[in-house]
Amino acid sequence: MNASTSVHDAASKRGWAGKLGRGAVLGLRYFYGLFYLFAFINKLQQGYAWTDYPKQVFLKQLAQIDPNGLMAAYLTGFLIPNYRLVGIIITLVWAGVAVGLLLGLCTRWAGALAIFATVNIGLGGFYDASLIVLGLIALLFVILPTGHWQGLDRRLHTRYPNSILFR
Amino acid sequence: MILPAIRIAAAALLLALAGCARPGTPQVQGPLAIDIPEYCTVCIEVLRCEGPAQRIAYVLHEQGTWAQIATIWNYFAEFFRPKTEDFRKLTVYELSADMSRAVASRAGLEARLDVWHRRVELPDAVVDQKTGAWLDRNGASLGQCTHIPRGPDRQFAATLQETAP
Repeated sequence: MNASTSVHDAASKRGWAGKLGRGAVLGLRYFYGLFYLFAFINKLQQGYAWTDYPKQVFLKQLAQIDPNGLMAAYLTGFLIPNYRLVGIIITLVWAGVAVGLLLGLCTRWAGALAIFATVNIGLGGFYDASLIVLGLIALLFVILPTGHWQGLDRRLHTRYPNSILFR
Repeated sequence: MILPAIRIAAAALLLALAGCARPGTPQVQGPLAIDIPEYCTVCIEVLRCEGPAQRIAYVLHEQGTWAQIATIWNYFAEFFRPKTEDFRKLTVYELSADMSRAVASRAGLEARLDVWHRRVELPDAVVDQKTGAWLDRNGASLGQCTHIPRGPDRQFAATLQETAP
């Protein structure tokens, strides 16, 4: 029994619930990828990586939160003093997540990057229940091999089976 | 099986977004006397309004869990259509003469944030966020409102809740 027969057998054994589940997760992946793509385009329009726009956003956010909390400390101790570097990193991370999830390229790593982004959004004081949902959805892309279901990871994993990037 | 399902979902998404259109007039820009961040779902906003006839405090409560989760869609849709309105649960307190405590209250109300025109629409009044003017529904002046800053806002809201009869 060769590898393609094995994959075909696995697919035929999968019931409608499994197919629906996969479709739902893939739908979520594309939605999530678009979400980050739109956010990335917004960041470009706002000049996030080359203007002081992120500093203005962080200062405005600082005025909205408890000045003695962890988030205020993160804003004043790291984000605001390093706003230029942070603006560049945010823009690159948003682009990376969008490309990874939309193309199914290094998908698990794109999911991990999305979790990193979500945690940092929360630490920056922009926390609410939506971040929990966004974090859990991103976790799905780390746990499940969605890039093998649909995306470039399947081909690249066949070509580079030992690479951890395409698992 | 998976691809058609994704295509149907994508088509439904595009149809939902196709109904969105940008408002015809430009958004009222700051600086604002009463700056309410429409995307802060965990903030409370306290407006203290004073006029010759009455003194009222409006407490706009933080949003519920599901409303917070729904902001994911709002952020997504904003790429196609800017956010123009938001709704908050509202409690209205009638204040004592020194404005330090509540002498009457009405809970379970709703305030509409007109994000585009920067107005807070209340059951019996409207607050112009640009100037802080407190107006009745016909546009006549009732007085002036101030926005209690973060920190003191929660303390003041708690005091009002405790002192309300």
